Amino acid sequence: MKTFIKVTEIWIPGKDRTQLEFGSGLYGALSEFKAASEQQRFPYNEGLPGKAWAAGHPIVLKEFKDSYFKRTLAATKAGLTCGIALPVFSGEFLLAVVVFLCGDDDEHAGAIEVWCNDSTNPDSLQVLDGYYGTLHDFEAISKITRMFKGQGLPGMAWQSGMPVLIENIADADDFKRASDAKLAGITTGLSIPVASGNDQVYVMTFLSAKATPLSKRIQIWRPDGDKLVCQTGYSKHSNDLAEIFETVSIKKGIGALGRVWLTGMPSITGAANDSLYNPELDNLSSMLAIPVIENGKLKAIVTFLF
Amino acid sequence: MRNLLLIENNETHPFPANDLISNDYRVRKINDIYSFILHFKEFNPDIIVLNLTTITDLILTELNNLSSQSVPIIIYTEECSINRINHLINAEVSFLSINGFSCSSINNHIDIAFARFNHLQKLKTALEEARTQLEDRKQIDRAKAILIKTRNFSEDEAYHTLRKLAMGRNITLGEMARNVIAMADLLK
Repeated sequence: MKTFIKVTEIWIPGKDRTQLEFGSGLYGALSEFKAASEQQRFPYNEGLPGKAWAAGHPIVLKEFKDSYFKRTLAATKAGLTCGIALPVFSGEFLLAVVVFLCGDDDEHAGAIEVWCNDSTNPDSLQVLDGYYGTLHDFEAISKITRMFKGQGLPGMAWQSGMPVLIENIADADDFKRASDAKLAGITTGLSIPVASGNDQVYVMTFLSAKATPLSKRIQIWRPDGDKLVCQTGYSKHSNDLAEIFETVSIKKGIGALGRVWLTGMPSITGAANDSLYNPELDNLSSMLAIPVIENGKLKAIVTFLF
Repeated sequence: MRNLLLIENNETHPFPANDLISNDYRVRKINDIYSFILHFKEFNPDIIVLNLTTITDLILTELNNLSSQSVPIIIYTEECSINRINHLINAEVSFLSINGFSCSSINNHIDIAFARFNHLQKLKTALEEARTQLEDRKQIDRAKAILIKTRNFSEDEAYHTLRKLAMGRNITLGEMARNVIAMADLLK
């Protein structure tokens, strides 16, 4: 199964916390790009992770050539054409930066957007930046659309402060751009609110076509008392094995998700031995878990399973 | 037609290739052990015969390199220590004759070599299957333990769940067990 996201990385502050170092990553077969990435360091405001750290909000880089992106040659060789960096903060201090790198071709339809409000329009969100690949018409519509609290995918995430996953977005009443999404072949949408200070709001949205989902499975976990429970699990094909594990309650500090809750740090697990991975079986061999934090408290954990 | 690769440096008792009982052999003779592997790859023999005055370390090394190549090997030599004999057995030589051969016996030797070789292959296959089954059983037990702990299943329920998952994917229980373990590892 081809997925829209090709590479995911976690960059973490080094010992002196003045630059970002490689934490972990999922590269699939892109071993050369992996080798080029593992040795990289990103000072504040340099490279894609460093820029997201300085900006204090998610950023989208649609074109690597002649940009601040540091691994252009290796990325081009690997067929990667755009990058999205999502910083995870606790207050004003950076915990980590999650980077998604995607490939751009006719077979990979999807979009990733960053929505935000501003001082002149504090009650509505608009696209700050976005990567739309070949979905030019959908991009044009999105850029002139404003979303109020509770409206559309970004507005729902803003209102609830929780990640929102819509499976059949083209038929969803709540999705303001449903008909445009249908025309663009978009079927699934995920929005993640990103914590920020004062009244400033940022929401990331991931939109993907059925043929090239974001990942093999997406889950949203939320704290329920002293346990973490799975609120939503979705994949293109039903996966009864994953569903079994989605009935589990997870304690703080126990297991990969329990550690994300305890530390507030995103994490990547699995794929220790790529040779064990058999895509024909639709195995779920690796997982990226991103915490959604609001006022220093965990609101949810979003997992991307590959 | 079978290909027979003959490596020979015993000029006193040359291998009587002309006495091979059937004409179904294409024989390639070489004298140089250094080009052994090259000829092996190029000629793709069905059987290898070494007719040597003595067994050297170099020959043992070359034979060890060949042991996974799966062809019967016959060795004729004029002298061989017990240490060398052990090494040759470990290199899966199918037939070993010390103090030469008689022309009338070589066809029997070839038959014995093929029979021993085939028998050994069957044993190796059976051993590999047994290893896989044992490994599968371990993985299945581990996957069942995960399901019991995760879902509070009884052992029977865990087994039936595992079987149902495997049937749904049309894969073996062992493969399914590995999937369950991999999924549990993600949440570890």
